Amino acid sequence: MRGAIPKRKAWLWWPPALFFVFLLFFSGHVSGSAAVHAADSSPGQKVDYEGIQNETENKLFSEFDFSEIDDSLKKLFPDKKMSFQELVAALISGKGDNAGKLAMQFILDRLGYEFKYNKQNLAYMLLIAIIAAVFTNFSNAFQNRQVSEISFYVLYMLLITMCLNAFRIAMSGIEGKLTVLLDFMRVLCPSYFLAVAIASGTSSSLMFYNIVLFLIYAAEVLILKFLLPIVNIYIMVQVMNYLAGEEYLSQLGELLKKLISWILRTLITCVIGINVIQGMLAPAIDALKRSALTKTAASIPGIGNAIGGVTDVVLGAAVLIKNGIGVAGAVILIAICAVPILQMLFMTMMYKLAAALVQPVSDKRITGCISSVSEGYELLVKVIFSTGVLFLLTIAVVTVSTS
Amino acid sequence: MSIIQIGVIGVIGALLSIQFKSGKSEYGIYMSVGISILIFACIVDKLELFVKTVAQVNQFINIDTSYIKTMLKMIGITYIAEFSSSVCKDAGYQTIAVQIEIFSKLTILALGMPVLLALLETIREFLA
Repeated sequence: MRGAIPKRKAWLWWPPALFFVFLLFFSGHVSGSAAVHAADSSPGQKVDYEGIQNETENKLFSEFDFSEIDDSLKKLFPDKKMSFQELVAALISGKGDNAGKLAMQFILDRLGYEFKYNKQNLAYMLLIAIIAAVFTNFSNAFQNRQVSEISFYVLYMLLITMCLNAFRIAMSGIEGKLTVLLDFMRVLCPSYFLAVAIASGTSSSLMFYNIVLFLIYAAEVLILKFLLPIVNIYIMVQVMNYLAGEEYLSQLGELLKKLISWILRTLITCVIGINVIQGMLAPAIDALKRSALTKTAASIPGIGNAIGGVTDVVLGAAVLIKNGIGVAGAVILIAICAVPILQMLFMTMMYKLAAALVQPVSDKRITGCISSVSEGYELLVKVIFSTGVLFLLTIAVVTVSTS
Repeated sequence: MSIIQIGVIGVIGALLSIQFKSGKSEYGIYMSVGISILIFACIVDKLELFVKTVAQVNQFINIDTSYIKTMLKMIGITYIAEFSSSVCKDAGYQTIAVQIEIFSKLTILALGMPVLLALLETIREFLA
């Protein structure tokens, strides 16, 4: 390499090389010291790449400000003392091998807790359905149909009060979780895209940062302020639909359900599309700039070879840290989403089970009411799942396409 | 009392009141009223068992017991109304019978009003 460039043309290479060294100094004193360290070593002597990598990682870590993320984590998991940097470091060094086991344990614990907590609710529903059946049959003995109708309404009201209260609690829980999710994304973004900028370049960092900001805004407006109230209305419509013997509102309920699932699907498709398209373009621009820079540096006579090697190591470390932050963010996202998703799935199954159990004894309106509430929970699962997938996909695309 | 005894009492009462139908028909009506009240008294024992069962079921679920009370009350109102209106019909006074039925229906409706209000309140709270 060194021999390939004639000595008299060497001065041509100095301005870009100086610029590169300046850039390395600028983007963290790290690389600067690494470059100096490398420059000191005489050609032929082996450069301590591992040491450089460790040093780079430590220095890079000191550049990031994780305090906001840590604050948000403290709010999220108050019982666990977890620092974001530790999580990233653990993931980078590959210590996540028993994660699957932990996740299984967590899921089982959660399901057990939900079952214990909701067992009473299930029993109430069954009892109310059975009492309604008994009362209705008992009052059918009279010529007067009015009393059987009114006693049915009384019990139906008790049932829907219970269902709606449970649903409202679940709904406010979901709202809280989504807000937490968005808050976490908001504090994760600056650190993550700083890492992307260091590892890959400013254009992709900027472009993806814009996408994520747009995504957070869209999720807040569309999902939190629009879709969740629609789920509320859907449940109400379904419950009212079964109050009367005839189905007056079933079409409206179906329309609302279709609307919700279409909006979610469209949102996911759009986000995937935008991400993939940006993922094709922006990293390529950065790669072009970077390769021009590194090639230039590598062709500096005398120290070019060492700089090329060291640059690779430094960039590799930056990519590693960027991916570590991305994966840690994804893991925390999954942890935030997992609890409500499990909860809602459990509730869906429980209400379906209750509907199945009361169907033989009870009026078909009561069965319909219980099973429609379970569909409402299913919609909540869809909403929170889609929101989680939106952010996970974005992080995944950014992580993969900027490496 | 078992259903056989009740049946026997009812049939004997009906046969006896046929005897009075040709001459003094009002005695037949008095007799049928008396026997109806007797049978009603026999059922009241059983009704108590029913109310007790409902109270027991109430203990399983700590829902607002006033609704269950309301429902029992409605059943009682319907029972009494049907009883008295059929006695009136027997005596040949359709108008009074219909009035009793209408009164009972309106009473049940009035009892059901808090239920309707609670239902509306639930919906309002949920959508608020």
